[in-house]
Amino acid sequence: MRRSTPADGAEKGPRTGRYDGRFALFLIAPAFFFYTLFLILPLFGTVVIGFTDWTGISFSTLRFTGLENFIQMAGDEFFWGAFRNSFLFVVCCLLVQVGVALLFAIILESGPRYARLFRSIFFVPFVISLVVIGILFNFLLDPTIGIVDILLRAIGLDGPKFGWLGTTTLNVFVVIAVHIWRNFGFTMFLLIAGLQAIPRELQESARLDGATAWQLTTRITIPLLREVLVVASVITSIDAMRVFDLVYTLTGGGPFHSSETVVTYIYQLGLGGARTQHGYATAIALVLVLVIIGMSVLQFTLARAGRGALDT
Amino acid sequence: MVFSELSLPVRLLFYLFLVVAAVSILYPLMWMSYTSLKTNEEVMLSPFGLPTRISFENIAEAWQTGNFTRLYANSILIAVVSVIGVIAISTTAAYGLARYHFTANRTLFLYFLVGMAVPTQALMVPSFKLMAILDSWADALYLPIPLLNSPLAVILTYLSWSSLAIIFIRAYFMSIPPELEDAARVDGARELQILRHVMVPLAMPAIATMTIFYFVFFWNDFLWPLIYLQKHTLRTIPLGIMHFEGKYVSLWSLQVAALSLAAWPPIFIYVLFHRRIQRGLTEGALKF
Repeated sequence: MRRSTPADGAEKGPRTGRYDGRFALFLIAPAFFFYTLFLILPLFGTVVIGFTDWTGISFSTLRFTGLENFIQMAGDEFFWGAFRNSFLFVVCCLLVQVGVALLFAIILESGPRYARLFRSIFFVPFVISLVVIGILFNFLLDPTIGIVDILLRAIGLDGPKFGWLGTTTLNVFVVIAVHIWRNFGFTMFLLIAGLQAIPRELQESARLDGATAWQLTTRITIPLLREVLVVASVITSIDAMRVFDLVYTLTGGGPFHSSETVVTYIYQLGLGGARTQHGYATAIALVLVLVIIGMSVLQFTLARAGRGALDT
Repeated sequence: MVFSELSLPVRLLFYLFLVVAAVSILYPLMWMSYTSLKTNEEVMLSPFGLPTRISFENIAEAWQTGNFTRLYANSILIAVVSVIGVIAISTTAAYGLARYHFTANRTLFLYFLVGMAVPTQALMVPSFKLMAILDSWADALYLPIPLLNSPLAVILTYLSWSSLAIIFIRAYFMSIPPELEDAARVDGARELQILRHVMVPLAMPAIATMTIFYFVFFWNDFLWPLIYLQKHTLRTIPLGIMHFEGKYVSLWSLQVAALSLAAWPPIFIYVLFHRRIQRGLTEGALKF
């Protein structure tokens, strides 16, 4: 596995090569054009439109409203509900998805039978469209024809009265469970790549010194895996924070916005249905961008602080 | 930790974990697959039983009513054009950044790095507005086809997601020893020829990884087609499946058949190339 942070390369720049700047710019120009026009410009637009109540596309109707959108956000219970659900997503995925992925990565790397087969099976849902998975689970969790409720009834239990996806407070956790079902195999692969990069000798010598499997795992393997674990956590939390497809197909954010997440709420407000609160939706998107960047920086910083504490 | 040295109860417990997880993943997919091979009566009589004889009646009907020929054509068009486009422009940009000294090199690299931190979903409203504005200028810009309600809007959006590919392929170019290019240069090859005939073949592992990574993401993407493709003739597979569900609520055996039609080809390709796909997706993400 090749690992280096992108910033390393930035410090060094090209070590070799030519000095024909014009030809280089010619090579870079197409990517630069599309990237600037369709990613950087909308990003810039997010910062601007978030402070307006712009609904159309004509610049003459663009009117700045100062912090009005952000004040509206503070009093919008659906906004807070959506953010609470998204944070719930992040916390549950960090604990359960990364936890399960770590457990399975360690088990599979220790060499049980059929390790390869299990690994490949766990990855399957990751190549299937989330829309297919969402609709499939709509069937499996259906109160009348779903297998889950039928199995429960067979052992004399009852599923929730309004269904797994129709019961408020419960439905978010059901969506989270499906999200984890789909993604843990991918997280596991990231961690397996990290495990394979750990030199065998370290574990070997500790094992010869009489360390138990538990000691080996908690004192050698997991500390050495920390860097990849941080990367996996950051990817997991970003994915959880911007979940859209599954919520849209499983619950549509309902009932009564109970399972709305930040991205589905932005879509609802800005582009879905007849509602066109473009300025307000964009202001929420701006908050989302800042939260995601803040979350990643926080995790990388914590990891670095943790490493410092361990080294001393 | 060596598995065979663990105590028997622990080993059994671990096998139990693995088997439960594997069944939880395989069962839903198998139920979907064999249900779509049952006849309607069989689906009604025993929704969870295996089919007594294989029938393609629901599959064929779902293909017809869901217009899957068109859905597949649309999805393939968008994914293939976008992947070829984004990989081509990223490879040349990566080469320019990896091998040429010029003042703006580092600034440009950091500029492309910004794209790694931006959640594209957050850009949906300004992106939509931008496309609408460009669309309203269609005549002045000499656009051959409209932007709104055309695959072009989705493709242009995907072409802007070049950051990851640029960073990934650039790192690979930088690890290639310069002697090979220099030799080609001495032999009188021109710069573009060196890129095409020397560097691109050498960087093929990285380019292939990125191709797989981008293809899976474009193929499965739902949000951007949902935003831009309102006309039903333009729908991609995820969009088509979504609308199929709304239209045939009562005929759920038909709906399950439609799900299978969308899920089987990716699963089949995964079974064939699983190692390559696993590597491609994992390495791409680890570059983060």
